Amino acid sequence: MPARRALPDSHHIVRYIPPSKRFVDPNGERQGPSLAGFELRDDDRGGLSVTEIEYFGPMSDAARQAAAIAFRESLDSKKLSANGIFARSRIGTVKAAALNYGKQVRIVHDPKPKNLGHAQIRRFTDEDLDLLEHFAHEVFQEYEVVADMRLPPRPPSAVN
Amino acid sequence: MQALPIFEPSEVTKPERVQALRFEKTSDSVPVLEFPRVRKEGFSPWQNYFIDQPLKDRSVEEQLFAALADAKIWTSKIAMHLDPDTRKRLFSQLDVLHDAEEWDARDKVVNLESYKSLVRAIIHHSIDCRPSLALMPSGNLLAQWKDNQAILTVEFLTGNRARWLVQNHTADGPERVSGTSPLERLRIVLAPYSAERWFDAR
Repeated sequence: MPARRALPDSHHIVRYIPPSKRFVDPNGERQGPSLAGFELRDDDRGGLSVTEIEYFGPMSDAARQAAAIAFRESLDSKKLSANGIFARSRIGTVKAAALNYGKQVRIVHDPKPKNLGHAQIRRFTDEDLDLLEHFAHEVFQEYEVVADMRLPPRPPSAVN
Repeated sequence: MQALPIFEPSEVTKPERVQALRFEKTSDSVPVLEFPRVRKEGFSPWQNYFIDQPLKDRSVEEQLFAALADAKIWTSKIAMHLDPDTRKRLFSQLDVLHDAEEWDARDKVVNLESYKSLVRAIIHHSIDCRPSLALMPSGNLLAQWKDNQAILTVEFLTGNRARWLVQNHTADGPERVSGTSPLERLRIVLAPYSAERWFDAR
């Protein structure tokens, strides 16, 4: 696997959490992200898949939107669920949290053709519920719901 | 006298293998289409010839519908053991988790065996308090009970097992404990952390 550029601790990453990975309370209301959003999926090849916000400019609403749009483009469906969320954290916080669990993760830039801000949390393993819960509730505790991000629809020229 | 030749219908036209479409009349004289049935070794003679497709080959809507239907049909078989309100809320939560409008194509529908484990735990341990639910990438159900800052999270596994995590705040600092146990032992293994605060209504 080629060496990739490690991202600075001061930068931020987002992980997309689909609606089914959010808790639904007994009244049928959607709540925040669950640890299920941080378990490795089939498409998390090589590490936990995230997107670097600062790749798209200094931290701002516009950069977060651009990161979300780039992630959307990388999906086969090109569609984000309105109740999906982008959970966010600072890279230094992620590394420190993982280190507390004995995991020296590397967070590296791993550009994809449709998402040039794509990054991976490498050496991350998901067998430990405690770590996953820690990520869901304390490390990636800031999040935005897709419906509230006012993402522009895909331009007609981009529609396959 | 010459013997009559014996007529041998082909495999395709053997009447006992394929029956033509028939229309039956109802009492209202509305024709009802009855699908042809196939007789084939190893199959029930009355089995519909539209053989079930594997779940993964069906459309997303069909997969979601089939997963929910399987869970609800199974629940109906043990409904006498489950409080009606608990059943209603579980169904409502499953419906929200499998909302077709919100479904991510990369997700997996609920694993029926995991759902059975959750329901069996609720019945076996007389769990009154209702958890929040989410789906793990494998389709296993993840349940969470909260009592102020004390949180119990359980992934219901197949084979009547559960993977659990307790988060608690003690006078000496935060405490986290996790483990995997047979369903029957959940209350016992969680007893040191006061399982009743998550399971029993007060």
